[in-house]
Amino acid sequence: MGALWNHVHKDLIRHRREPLTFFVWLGIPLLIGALFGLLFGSDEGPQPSARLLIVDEDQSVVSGLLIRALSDQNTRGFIRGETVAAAEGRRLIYDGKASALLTLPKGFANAILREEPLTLPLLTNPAERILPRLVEEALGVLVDGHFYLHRLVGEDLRWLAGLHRAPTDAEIAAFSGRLRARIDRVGNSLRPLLIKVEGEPAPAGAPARAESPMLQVFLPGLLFMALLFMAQGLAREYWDEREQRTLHRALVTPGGAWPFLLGKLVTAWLLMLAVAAVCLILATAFYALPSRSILPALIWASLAGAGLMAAFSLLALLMPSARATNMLGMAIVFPLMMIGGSFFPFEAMPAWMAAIGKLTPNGWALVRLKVILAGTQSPLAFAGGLLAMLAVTAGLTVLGTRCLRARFGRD
Amino acid sequence: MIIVDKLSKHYGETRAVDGISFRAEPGRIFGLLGPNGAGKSTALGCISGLLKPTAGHISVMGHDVQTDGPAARATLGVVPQELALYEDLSARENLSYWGGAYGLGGAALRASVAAALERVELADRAKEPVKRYSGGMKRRLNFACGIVHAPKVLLLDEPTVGVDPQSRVRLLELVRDLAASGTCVLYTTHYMEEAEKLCDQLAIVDHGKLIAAGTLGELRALHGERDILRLAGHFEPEAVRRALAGLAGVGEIAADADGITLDLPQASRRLPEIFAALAAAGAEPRETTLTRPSLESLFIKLTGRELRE
Repeated sequence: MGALWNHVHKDLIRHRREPLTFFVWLGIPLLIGALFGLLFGSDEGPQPSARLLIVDEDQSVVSGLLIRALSDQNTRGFIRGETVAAAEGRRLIYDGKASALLTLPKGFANAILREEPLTLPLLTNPAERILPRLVEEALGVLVDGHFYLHRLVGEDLRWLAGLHRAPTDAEIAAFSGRLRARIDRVGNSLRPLLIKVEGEPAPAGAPARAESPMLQVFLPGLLFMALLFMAQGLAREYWDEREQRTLHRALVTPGGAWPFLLGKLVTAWLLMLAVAAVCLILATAFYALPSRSILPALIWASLAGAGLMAAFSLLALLMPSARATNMLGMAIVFPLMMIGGSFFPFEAMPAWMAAIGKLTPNGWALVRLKVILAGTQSPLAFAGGLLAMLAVTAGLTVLGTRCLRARFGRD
Repeated sequence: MIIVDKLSKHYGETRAVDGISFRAEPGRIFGLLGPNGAGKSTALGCISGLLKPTAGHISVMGHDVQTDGPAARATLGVVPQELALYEDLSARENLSYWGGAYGLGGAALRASVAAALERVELADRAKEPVKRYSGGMKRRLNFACGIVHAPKVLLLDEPTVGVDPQSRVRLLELVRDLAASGTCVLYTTHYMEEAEKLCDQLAIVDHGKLIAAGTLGELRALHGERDILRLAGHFEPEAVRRALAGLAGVGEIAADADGITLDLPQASRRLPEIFAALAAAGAEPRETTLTRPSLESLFIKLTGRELRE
């Protein structure tokens, strides 16, 4: 233990002598996080919404009802429906100025009222991923609603469709009465609902702060971006020590390779702990991170960083030169950051890419960090994850030590 | 004590060390001599445990370096040929780190560091970062890092290379002091004069093989009190060989078209007859070098070339 601390102490002094590197590592998540915070964390500015263009070829009361249903007031601003001519609608879609173009063909009202097969053409903007899906989901809900409406008052709707004149007041009153009776009849099945969703009230005295998407989506990725840069940069030290011959001198001390390599790993862990602590404490202050999540998140993030350090150490010890180590390290770090959820959150990736990204070491740890930050991680899952991570880190360290002792330190 | 028995270290077809054996005793300085690339540093690497021997056994203070490495290494102090220092740390921090790596701590470490700094005369600049030191100061600190834990066995790999004369004298004094206090010192060098003045026992290594070993007196006896006479110029080797065959006591070490190397007693007095014989053989000597009996001349006699070639 004394030998290990001796190595750690020396490395920490050396890092203290060169604080700029540490502040660069710390600055990466803070700077990018602040920029994201300014971009997405504020209530100011326009809320992203889908612009849905509707071509109404039917010009019926029913198509008018649907267009009103898709207006701002009914979709809470997520979808902004507006009617356009067909040519104008296509031009706007191809110019990328709208999310989707829905055509309500002739006979739309008849098909709706008679429950006949109907295809609604929906042209989506290929340059957008999320907003067109939002429109598809909303239209899917309306189609489901139409199905259940027919189960309830289908007979009356078909009667209405067969009427080739405006209904009289008496017919409307009779229709309303039948509708009311049907609703009362099924009311016993609908009330009370078997599944009841209740919002958990905030504890008394808790500040009423809105949870920011910044915390949920970007912060864990940015933290892992810093950890990846740190792991890659710190692993370069093996080559520095070899070039200044201190590595060889350390290897002929009684402890040999083990405390030397473990010392580097523990130093990296302490530095990562410091970076993660600053980020998470600031997140608590600015982005409503639950304080109970800080300690487990800190433990998880710093140990994941140490695991990455062990992996990059092994890589450095296997490479033929410092230059090759740098080049390969960068060639690995950037794809890992991109696919592992640091540059682009998994939520914004295509499903297949997110699935691959979650299998990368940083992606795997990142997914779990998000769960920890959300406060929904069970203690058992947390402990299991930690054990798995420590086992992999230990395995990589054993391999690294063998490499250091057998090859790297003897050249 | 260091016991090296039939040590070999091969790198593919290259035999860096080829079956050398020797024994270095406590309280004495054992010199391992040879030109650059002779295998001295490789042998030291094997003894320190850094390199794995291809064959042979090494024991340090009774501990086998291969099977009982940590115990063997705990008795060793190593001063490598290249500087092995953290330039961003101070001398005190470097010494504390290396002392700590050998298990020292607390007051014992502080006392050892202070003593080492005094020994190498760096106490007054102990807090400065090493990057501000001169080359000689760095060399002295490099030496101090190897002795801070008071090792029983000290391995010195050409510690005076690139050292200014004053620092060299000081380092050699330190080595003598350590040996006098009972430390077993293994000293590699290619400076023959240094080895002659410093070492109690010597082994000469060339191309990985040990070609002579013993005390300075024993090695001189092996060579005899004969001078080395080297003549450079234009020679017809066969003709010169026939001409010199008639001169009593003149031995030939090497001969080619560019020069000839002879060994003979009292060479300075016999130069006239040698030049006459060479002139008769049609030789044209342009440069003459006379070397008095020394390790240098012994090395030339044993290998046919100079130590620094």
